[in-house]
Amino acid sequence: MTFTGRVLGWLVMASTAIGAAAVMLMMLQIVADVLLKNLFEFPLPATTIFVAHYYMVVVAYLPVALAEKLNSHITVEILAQHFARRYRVWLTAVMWLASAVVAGAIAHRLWLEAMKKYDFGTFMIEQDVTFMIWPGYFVLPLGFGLFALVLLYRFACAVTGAASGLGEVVDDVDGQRVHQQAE
Amino acid sequence: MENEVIGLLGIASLVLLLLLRMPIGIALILVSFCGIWVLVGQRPAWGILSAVPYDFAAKWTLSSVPMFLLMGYVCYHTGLTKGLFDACRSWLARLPGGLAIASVFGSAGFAAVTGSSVACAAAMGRIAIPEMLDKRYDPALATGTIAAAGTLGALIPPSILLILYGVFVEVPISKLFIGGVGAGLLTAAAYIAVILGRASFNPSLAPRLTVMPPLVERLQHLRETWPILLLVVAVLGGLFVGLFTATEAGAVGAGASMLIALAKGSLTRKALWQSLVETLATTGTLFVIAVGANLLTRFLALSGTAELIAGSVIGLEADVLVLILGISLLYLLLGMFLDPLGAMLLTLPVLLPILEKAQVDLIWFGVFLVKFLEIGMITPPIGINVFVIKGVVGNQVSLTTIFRGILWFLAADLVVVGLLVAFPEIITFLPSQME
Repeated sequence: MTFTGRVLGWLVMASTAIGAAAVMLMMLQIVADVLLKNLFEFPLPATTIFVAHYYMVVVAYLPVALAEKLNSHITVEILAQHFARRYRVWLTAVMWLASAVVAGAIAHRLWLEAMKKYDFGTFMIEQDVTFMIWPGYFVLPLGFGLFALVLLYRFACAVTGAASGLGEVVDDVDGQRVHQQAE
Repeated sequence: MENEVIGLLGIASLVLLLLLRMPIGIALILVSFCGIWVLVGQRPAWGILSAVPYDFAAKWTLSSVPMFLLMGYVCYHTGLTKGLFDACRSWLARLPGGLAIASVFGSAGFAAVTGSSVACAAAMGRIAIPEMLDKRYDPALATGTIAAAGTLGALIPPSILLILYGVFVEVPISKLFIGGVGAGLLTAAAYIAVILGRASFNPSLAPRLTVMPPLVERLQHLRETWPILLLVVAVLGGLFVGLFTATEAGAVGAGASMLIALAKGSLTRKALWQSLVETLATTGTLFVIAVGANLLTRFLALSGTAELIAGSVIGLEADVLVLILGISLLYLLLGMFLDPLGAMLLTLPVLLPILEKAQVDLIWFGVFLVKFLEIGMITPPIGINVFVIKGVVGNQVSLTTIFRGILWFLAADLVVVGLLVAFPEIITFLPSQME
């Protein structure tokens, strides 16, 4: 169980590293575009395509699992905080499972969509240059799939009582969302 | 079953799932998908679910969200804004409640580089609260000031809430941003008035410092703030005169803050990594909810429920003022329990048709809405800024004390809200000057 958690933690870490690279590249390309546009009236070609169809997709959906690992997905605490701890733990576990099923179904569907785009070879054209944009579609099922796995793992840990190998920081069950940083 | 009933049932099940602590984004997606399935069938439902997430995120406008987040987190983790507080403190030290006033100024300055009030409260809290407690300020005043002043983070541009509002409602983000300036400055002025008044009437709350730092030291502090002031002027100025789009302003701001931090030697690998990780985690959280809200809008439109609710509300033939009062009450209540982002995206699909029918100015409403959501950040029982401050002070100050300190600022907020309704020009004047 701990081993599975470690592998998952490693996958989340890898997705975070890719996401971090995308954020940096996005920033650098936009800054370069602004500078070139204003200084030499020569905008970087296809910046909008790169930003919208490559970087943004990675930055928006690859870290969905990271957000789950850091407990930063937003939940409503009005009712649940009044439950006895035992029921709260039980409720949290059920919600993890339900969310895992939903995230898994979304991932499956987005995978089919990505395969369709791959088969079509979906592309965009700017100034007579063709840019393949189908690879971006695969980021979505990967992000949601990893999210589903993390949720499922949490459910499994809660049911079996095994210690989590993900290396979380805060006990989410107590229902207080504290601003926290990654370790 | 009539379509509108399906829509209402959808809203009811959404509320139930949220109460059972399902993450907001997942609950929104699940309910909207099932609703669309029941209304128009399985194939269109899967079709919408497959298309919306990609089409929603692959947009130039929304890329300003991670860029402004990055700028704020870099400034926060590299301590770039500490100089602002030092400068304000050394110049305002002798005023009644000088340190607290300085931290309101500091927060307003930090708000101009960050789009989130949590970051603003955390940053200023770490710097200013220990200093105030050390100078024997009343703990309620010290912590309450920072929790309240943190809300300037989302009002004074940049603002993540305003970007998302702009994308959903389809109004220009630059106009929303400049509209936020008026409301933000008015809020800051009101908070300063509260501190001045309280510290003058009861000097024991904030013992006055007798020694003013020498002029050389004060000028030195002022000199240290120029890079951050330049950053703010360049980024926001460029946005308002039309030199940059919001995304470009965010990227240039993030890049420039990294350069400044590098020059100051505070851009450590750890600081950079933490800034990137927090940018990613916040973006990830936000997009799942935003996609869910987008699906909910489609579901409610298909079912005709949004129209039904809008029609019924308008059918009451109530005055616009009564409508605004009703909406304010709704957000005051939601804000007590919900995260601002969730509260905004959950309600916009239902409220937008009502506002359009009642011809409410959508720029004004965006800023007004954010002001209310930010009030929700400091009202019990779930005041996120208060929890952040609690995290900073640990066992030194109790939650109740912090909430007690906030009461005066809440009263000031209600006055501000009243002024924003009575004189909408406070928000709309600057945007109306932009073309």
